[in-house]
Amino acid sequence: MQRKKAINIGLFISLGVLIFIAGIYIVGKQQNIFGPTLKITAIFRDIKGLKIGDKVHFSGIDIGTVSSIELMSDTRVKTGFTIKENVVKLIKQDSKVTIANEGLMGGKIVIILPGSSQSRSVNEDDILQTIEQVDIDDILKEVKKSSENIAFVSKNLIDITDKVNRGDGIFGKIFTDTVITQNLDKTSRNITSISKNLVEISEKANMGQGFMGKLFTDTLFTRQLDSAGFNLKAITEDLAEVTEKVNAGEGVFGRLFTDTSLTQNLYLSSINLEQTTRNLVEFSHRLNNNENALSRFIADTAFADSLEILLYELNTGIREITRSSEAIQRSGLIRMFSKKKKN
Amino acid sequence: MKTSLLLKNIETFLIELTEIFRFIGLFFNNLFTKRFEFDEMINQMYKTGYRSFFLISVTGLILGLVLTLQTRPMMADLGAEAWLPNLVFVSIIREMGPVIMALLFAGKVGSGIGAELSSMRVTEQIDAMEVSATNPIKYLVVTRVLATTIMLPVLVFYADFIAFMGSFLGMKAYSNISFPLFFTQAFDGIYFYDIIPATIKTFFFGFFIGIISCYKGYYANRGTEGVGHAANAAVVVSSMVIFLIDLIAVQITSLFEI
Repeated sequence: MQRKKAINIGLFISLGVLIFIAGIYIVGKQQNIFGPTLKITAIFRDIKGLKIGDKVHFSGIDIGTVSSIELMSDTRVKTGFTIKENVVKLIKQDSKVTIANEGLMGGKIVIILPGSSQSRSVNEDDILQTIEQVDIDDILKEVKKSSENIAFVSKNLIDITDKVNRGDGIFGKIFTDTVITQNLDKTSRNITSISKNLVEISEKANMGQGFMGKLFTDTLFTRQLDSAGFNLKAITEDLAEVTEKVNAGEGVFGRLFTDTSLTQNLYLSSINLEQTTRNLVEFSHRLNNNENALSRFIADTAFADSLEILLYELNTGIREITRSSEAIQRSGLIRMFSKKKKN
Repeated sequence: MKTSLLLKNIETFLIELTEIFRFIGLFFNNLFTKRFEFDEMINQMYKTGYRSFFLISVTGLILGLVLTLQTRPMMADLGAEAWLPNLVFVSIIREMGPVIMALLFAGKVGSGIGAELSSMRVTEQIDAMEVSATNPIKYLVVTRVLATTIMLPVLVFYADFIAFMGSFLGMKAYSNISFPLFFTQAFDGIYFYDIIPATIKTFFFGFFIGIISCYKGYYANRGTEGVGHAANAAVVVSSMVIFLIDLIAVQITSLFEI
């Protein structure tokens, strides 16, 4: 009985101690106490509440713990890290170390940032470079500045919206002036109808109706246009040739633009022409004023009437003379005289 | 009148304190002298430790479960449910496990020792042992105190483990957390300075529960009335001393924390 009790107690205690040892081992493993490790150091200006036992992360993986913290001077804190030996080859000598927040509640972790691949791996007691993280106070200062700016902007926005509500400015008018909105409404309607027309035009053009339609769809029409363009090109080439000749002084036009004696003559001719036209003006003026026979001949109706009577009488006279001369010709004396003459 | 009563109480307390220290000295004196009552110690370990396992297990399971269930809504509100296993496990290892198990142990074992020794005293069995040249301190006190000192830490290891499982059950009741994740989260923020001081203080708890209970029982008087008084006093004083030691332990632990 006593032996059974002793065995039970032995088992009981052994199991209990085993649980304790397992717990110690798990915790020790987390702090890299039992595995092979390597110690590296970094010198910070401010460790921001980092504690011995805090984790060291590399690429987001827990690879070690903070093993020592030593205040060297008022701005230098030497911090040692115990790193698992199997990851040491990945940590380069130009890797940088920084302290970051583990969570919102203020826990700290050390982060080793990867170095360049060309650099060599760290050795025992190597000192890595550090990057001082932005402090939460600095961030809060920036946030304060930003919030002040936001307050200023929102105040301005309030002013603007006030003005808009009062109907000041373009935007205010847009929101308050009914005439503008009506006009805008009309404009939008017009734009709608324009776009509708454009749609119709494009539909027609697609169907080959009208000039544009033909342009886009009728190949014959485009060919004609093409030949017209070709002709136009020929004409312009001819024109270019002509103007070249003109510039060279060839032909009438060329001489016109280049021959100074011809232009002189033309100038004189124009002066003469001007004189002539002036005379003609004077002449026509006189004609209009009945100042001479010709004007009276043209304009005086009494004179015209008397001239008509005269002409009638003259006509009658001539007829009489003709008749008389025919009578004379038929008379013997005249006939005789005329025969002699014929011989 | 009142002042004289108070002074008398202080006087009694100081005398009792001295007596306890003398008793502790007696214990150590008998501990390192020859003829060790090993069988009786095994017997006491069986009675105090092995027989308390069920009580400690049930309490540990409920402790882990209740702590998790009570803390979970608050942590969920904070969006820090991932910290819950660690929070519960740290509190169990550092404080809840040792203190609650020690109080239970004092209630079960301390009262038992107090009642047993006091009844032996009242029935003059202790006097008889002295007459028959058996050292009652060696046989009754040293074995019991050693048994409580050794068995309480072991029971606390079990209790911590069972509370850990209870906490997992509590987590599993509300989320689909896997055991490996729970395990990682629970051990994530556990350090040696959480485990070692807590373990050391359980030895002290066990020792003082044993020594106070033995003292109260060993020096019991006033007949059968004294038996009840001794059992009661063993539990009350042990519980107070547990909290006192816990307070001192926290102070000492915080000295070594950075």
